[in-house]
Amino acid sequence: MASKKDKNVAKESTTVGENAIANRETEGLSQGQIIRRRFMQHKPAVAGLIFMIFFTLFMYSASGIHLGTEKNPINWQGWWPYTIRDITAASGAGDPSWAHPMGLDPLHLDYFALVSRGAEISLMVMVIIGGLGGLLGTIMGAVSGFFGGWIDAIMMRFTDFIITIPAILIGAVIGFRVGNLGVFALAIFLGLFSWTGLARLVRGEFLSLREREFVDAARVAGASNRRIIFKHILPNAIGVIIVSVTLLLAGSILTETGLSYLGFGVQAPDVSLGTLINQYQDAFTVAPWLFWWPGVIIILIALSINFVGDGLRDAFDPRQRRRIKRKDFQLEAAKSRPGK
Amino acid sequence: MATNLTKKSNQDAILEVKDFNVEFWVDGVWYPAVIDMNFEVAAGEVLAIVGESGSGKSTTAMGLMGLLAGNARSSGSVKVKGTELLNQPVSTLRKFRGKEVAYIFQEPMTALNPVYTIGFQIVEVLRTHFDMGPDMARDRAIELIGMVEIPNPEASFDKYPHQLSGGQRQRAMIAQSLACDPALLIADEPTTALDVTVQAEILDLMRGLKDKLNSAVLLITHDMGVVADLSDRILVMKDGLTVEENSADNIFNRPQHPYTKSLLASVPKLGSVKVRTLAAEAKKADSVLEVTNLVIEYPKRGRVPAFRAVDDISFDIKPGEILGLVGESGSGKTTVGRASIGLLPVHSGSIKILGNEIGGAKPRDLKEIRKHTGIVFQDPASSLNPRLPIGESIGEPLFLAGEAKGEELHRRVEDLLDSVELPRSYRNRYPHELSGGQKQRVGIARALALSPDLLIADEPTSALDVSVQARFLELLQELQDSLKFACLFITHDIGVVDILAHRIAVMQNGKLVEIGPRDQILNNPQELYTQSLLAAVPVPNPAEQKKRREARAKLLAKIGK
Repeated sequence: MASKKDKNVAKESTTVGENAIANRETEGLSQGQIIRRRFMQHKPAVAGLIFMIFFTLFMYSASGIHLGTEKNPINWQGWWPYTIRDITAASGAGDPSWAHPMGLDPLHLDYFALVSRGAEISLMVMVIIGGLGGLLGTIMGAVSGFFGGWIDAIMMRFTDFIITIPAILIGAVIGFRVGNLGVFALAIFLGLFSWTGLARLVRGEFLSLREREFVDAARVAGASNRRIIFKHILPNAIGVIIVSVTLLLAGSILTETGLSYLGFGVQAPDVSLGTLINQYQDAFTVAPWLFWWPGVIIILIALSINFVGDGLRDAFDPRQRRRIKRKDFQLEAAKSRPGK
Repeated sequence: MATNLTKKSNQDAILEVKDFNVEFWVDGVWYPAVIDMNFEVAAGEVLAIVGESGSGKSTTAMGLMGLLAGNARSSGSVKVKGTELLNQPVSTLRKFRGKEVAYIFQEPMTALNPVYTIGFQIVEVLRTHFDMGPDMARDRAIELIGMVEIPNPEASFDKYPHQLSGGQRQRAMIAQSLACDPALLIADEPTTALDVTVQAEILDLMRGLKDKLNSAVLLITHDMGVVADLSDRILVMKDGLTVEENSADNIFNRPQHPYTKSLLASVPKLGSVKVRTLAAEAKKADSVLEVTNLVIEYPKRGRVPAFRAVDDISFDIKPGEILGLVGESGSGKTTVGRASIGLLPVHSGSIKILGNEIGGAKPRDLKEIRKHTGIVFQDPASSLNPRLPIGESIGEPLFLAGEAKGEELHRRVEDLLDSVELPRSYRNRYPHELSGGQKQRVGIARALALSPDLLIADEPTSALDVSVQARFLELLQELQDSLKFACLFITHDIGVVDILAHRIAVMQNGKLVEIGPRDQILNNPQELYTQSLLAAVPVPNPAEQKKRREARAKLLAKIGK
């Protein structure tokens, strides 16, 4: 504690010089504008975001959009000449070449067509599960933690109930009863069951934050409950939410693969990145590209999501600004240590 | 005097500090926090280091024992009982920490571990430093608990920190730091977090212990009253530099440096300000706040019975009047303040603001009433949303009341910042980038955004330094003179109400003990409780403080405490 105080002491002496710069910026900014600005200063996050946007556009435009069930498909063709059903006439082991940049799989299907289709499916699953789970979890947790009392009791018992049901089992039962509804329905369904952990975390944060005086201050200023929850408390809980949702996104690829393996969700000849890896993990020594392409793409997606999450968290947390660079400090300390 | 001091130091200086420097590495530059400090403390002597926050006094205290943050470096020489300690390996320092040099920290609740009993924590210190069996350590711990005058030491041994009052926790901290008979005791703001009456008790205790144990004491504080009460010599610090060092008597009666003089001047002195009178027509006007037979209870939770925090109190505030509400912590004064703005439910009785009943008001009516009220909270760090730029915090009441939007809102926020004397550029800053005094100004600006008729100020100065507090009170007074709002000023510091209030109300255990015009309460208090509260306020003058101390002892004997 004392060391923090000490840092402030030193920091205060820097403010004299900074004031000159700070005084120029007198235009009033809202919370949203400041957060956007700070996010834009976080280089890895911006790089991650740009990569995600281009990657998504590239993959979707390459393979086209395919929705709906097997019986009533909705299809828009992409710019890549091959689809996941076109068996090519090429011969050989199917190594990557100019005509087939990602090579061919053992059935001589174009592997880029498969991977782009897989990436498309996996991204969609991720966004739906993460978005739905994140939204539901945040709202459930926020309402439960903020109001407390019997609302909290009922909502948390309901959460307990959902936690006890394994998603895989429910997926199997629904798949058995209704038949395979396709990836889209599966993702929505998984999203409906993946909010529980986040709800618990958000509730915990809200329980402690709602006792803080700034909540009273907002209430006195005339803020409604909705405004207090979303404008005042939620930004303070954003760190927990972002970390949790990032994990949820990464986990959703695995869940989808698991369910597909059981026969629900993504079914051959359709593919996702998860099923591709699952299918070709043994091909590692013979045709390594079959394993590497989807693997590397999953890693790239997960990394850029993490960067974006990091940037968001830092942008929301005003204290993240001035961090001492450990290396610089030690270098300087060694240079100018008096008497040594 | 100077020769006298050096002579003494040669004999038995416990702590010798020479050319002590501390610097911090921030954003690529070394910032000095302590510059060329030289001092000595002898056994049985109290040296006080005084200064505003940011002057480097705590840095000095931590730096002596190598407890600074990773981005600090220190140079010079620090000797305890002749052994050099500065920049020595941690293994050497550890032998001194706790055993030869003990610390008493500012915040007893955070410095004690909440999951262990105080007895366990004292035993732990004993057994770390001495070869002692569990039973022996226990006996010694109980002896120590008795020594710091915690009632019933045997039973208190097994109590957890939360079961003790603030004063008792600070006593337990002192017992822990005394466990190894330290040669040097470093007390970092030991009474800042405590009430005046409790502070007086702790100061009494420390004075007694110092004589009994013959330790050297390094007292670090910003409160000149505390210094006058306890110290033999005083060192005044400003921006890391030693401004003045002299005997307590010389500092208080013949201060040399202008900074020392201004520091002394900023301490509120009882009865030093002329009476603030209220215009005659205001006295006849309808009350802004009218509280009648107010009772507030915290409902029972499980086996804990309902607690009556406020018990049948009545008072009123006229337009433009400042009523000071004084009492120890736990007396229910904050509860009254929060209920007055509708943050707590009323059990019985009534609170009327401008004739509108607050208890049981519907949310919509409450919102309407709140447009006429503002509140400044105690802790500026907690009352501002850490994720909201302060400009938005200030503008929120205006925005929500539908008074201003967009450009108009920006302009109003700028005006408000001007009125509390903060630069306009600060409005994009986050609360943690502001100092305590600045944050509290933001709190005021927010409370005054809607030009309320009633301002409730809940201990707004308790987290501030004396000199910052003085400026803050001045500002509040100026604003009150121009805006003419009525104010309920809640505080535990009688010196503060003395400056501001027209009338003073004294609370104890949820009951109103005494209420009356300022002069009557301060100069001619009727109730014994008010008298003891007044007697506990330390005065920044050693001679007078000694007299007051004796008078207080007599008074307490009379009450039978």
